[in-house]
Amino acid sequence: MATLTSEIDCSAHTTREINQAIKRAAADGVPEIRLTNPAARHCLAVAVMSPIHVIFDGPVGWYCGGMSDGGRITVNGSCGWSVGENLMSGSIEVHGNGGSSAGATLRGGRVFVAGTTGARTGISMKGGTLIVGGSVGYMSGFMMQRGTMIVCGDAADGIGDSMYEGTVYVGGAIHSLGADCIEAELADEDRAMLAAELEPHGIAASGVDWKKLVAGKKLWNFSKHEYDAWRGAL
Amino acid sequence: MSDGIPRGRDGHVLQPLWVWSPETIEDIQSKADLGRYTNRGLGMTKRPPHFEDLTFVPCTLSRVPLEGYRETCATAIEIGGRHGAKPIKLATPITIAGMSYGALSRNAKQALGMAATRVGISTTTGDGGMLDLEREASDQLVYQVLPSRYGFNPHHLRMANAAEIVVGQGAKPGTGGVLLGAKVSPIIAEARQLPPGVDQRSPVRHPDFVGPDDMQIKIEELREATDGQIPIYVKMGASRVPDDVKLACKAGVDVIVIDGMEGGTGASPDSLMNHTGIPAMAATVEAVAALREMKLEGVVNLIISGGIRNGVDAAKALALGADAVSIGTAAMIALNCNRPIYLEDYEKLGTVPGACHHCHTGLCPVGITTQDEDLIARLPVDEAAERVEGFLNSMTQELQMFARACGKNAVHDLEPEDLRAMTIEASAITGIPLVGTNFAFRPESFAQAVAEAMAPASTNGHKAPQGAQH
Repeated sequence: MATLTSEIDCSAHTTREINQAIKRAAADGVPEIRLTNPAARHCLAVAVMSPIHVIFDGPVGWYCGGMSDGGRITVNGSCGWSVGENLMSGSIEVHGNGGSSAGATLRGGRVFVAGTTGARTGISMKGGTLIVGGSVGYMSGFMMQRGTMIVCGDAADGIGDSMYEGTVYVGGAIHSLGADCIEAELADEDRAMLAAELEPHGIAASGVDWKKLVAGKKLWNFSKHEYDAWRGAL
Repeated sequence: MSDGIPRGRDGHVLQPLWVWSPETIEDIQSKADLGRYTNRGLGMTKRPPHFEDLTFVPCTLSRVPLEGYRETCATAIEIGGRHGAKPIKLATPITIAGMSYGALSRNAKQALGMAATRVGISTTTGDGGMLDLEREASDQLVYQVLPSRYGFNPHHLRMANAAEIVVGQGAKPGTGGVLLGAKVSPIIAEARQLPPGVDQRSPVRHPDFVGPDDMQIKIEELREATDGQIPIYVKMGASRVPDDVKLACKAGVDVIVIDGMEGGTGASPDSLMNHTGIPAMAATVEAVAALREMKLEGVVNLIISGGIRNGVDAAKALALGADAVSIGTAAMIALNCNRPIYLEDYEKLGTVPGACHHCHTGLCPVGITTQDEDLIARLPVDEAAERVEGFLNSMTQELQMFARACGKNAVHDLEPEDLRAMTIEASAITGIPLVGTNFAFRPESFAQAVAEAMAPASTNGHKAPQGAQH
């Protein structure tokens, strides 16, 4: 096996070797590790548990940065499904498009995808902040529990379906709201938060017709007198 | 009248209708009152084809049994080593199934962990994540990766001894779980990042993958997260078992857990429990055949669960080809579920010991399926652990007893030849000959019988034996 340094050519190593090298570098206090030729390989930078800046020059596959806690990951390219899945803390920035289930079950930290993401973006989020510079696919925010999702573009059908809690902001058009997802009034604090979150990514929050979506809470506890709310949820 | 037959005032016999039985009438009226389907806990009410329908044919003159109290009979097995992970070592081929902290009280989870450790087997987390007490109590703990990911924590995953991707469970394959608001206490709510008191409905599909090809990548992610050190299980409700087993093998799992329709639950729609999935006995046969077809029998380990009540059921599952069994409801019953104590609280629930399946209410009289502190206190951990340990030991003794009687010095040497079917149904399902016939009621058996009957007679009037014609 070739010696792994703070710059790695992924094409020369197995996924396990790459991930082990990232973990070793983080443990050794290396501040930054750059990986070339990731070639859309799956499961890169999974479970990075220490502070380190991991930079991928090129597209990555599924689960990039999944189950990580405390690292900073930058992807100079697009990513596959489930980027930042179950991220505990830290950040992931994708300077390209994302696949479906981006930020699935996010628990903390920040995931930013500059382009568009697929279906079920932010599904079952339990915390943290997910920002999508473009549009999101259908059933995004499904069963969201906590956290914040900001969609600068459009939201496809069923946004926020069966949310328990959490907040979704949509800057573009909403094709349809999911079951028990309702629009709430946008307050000054919301605008200030949006500006603070988007400015670092070079996205202007002002002049946008933001819609704030929250849980209607009719699905919190079953009531036979509100069957219409449950018809689509059961 | 004193003959026990229900009669009208004029003495004529009252005849309930089969279609509109008292049970059906009550079911319709309770749904009318609730405005939805009915939920309850524990398991199915119907009697499925079951391991009960098989019997062992021990040694007599044709085979020699082992001496029951003197000769050793091995029980240990290691599972999950297919891809080089550190295997789970079971001193006896039994595991404690995944049951959530939330559905179960912390005392129950801790007691199960303690008992499993004392016996040398593994226990399993559940929906809601890993409880610290459970981790401390359990030498070998399997961490479930469920569709809801409630409480999922990668640090806990890395503390686990195996990971189990839950695709479904026997009580409700194809449907997510339910935890009614009465059990979503502030502690449980925080563990699951939910509002307290909410009727929690778990999703059925995983949030980050959909089909078997995707699951292969999820397995890779789990292996990367754990440096390949722990086995990866997949648990599925018994449904289209042959296809599901083959797909799981292809996806790269180390262990397959098949949960028959008899499998238990903390809360499920009653209709799902009785009308979905296939029985554990049938699932065992199909799973073993699928593994054999893939040439992965003994490589990908098979754990069977769902309605395993004792060492006898376990011995039959092993004889059919399972590597181990998993128990959930039986372990709860060993804890104290349905024990005739605190009778007034059973009465408040409108039930009696022996027929209580009110786990979903959160008012468990014996402190197992509750989050109420006063009720939890009714389950002292040490005593509960001792009961489960005793039950697990009894299962091992029964396993050994049947193996020895069949002339085997290891329980894993039990085989289909040691069994006979008590019903045509069980024979047809398992391919094991019906008692007294030496005939297995399988399509291939009938085909062979027809072929033999149709074989041309020789000049001496006898049929030529199959395979002897040229």
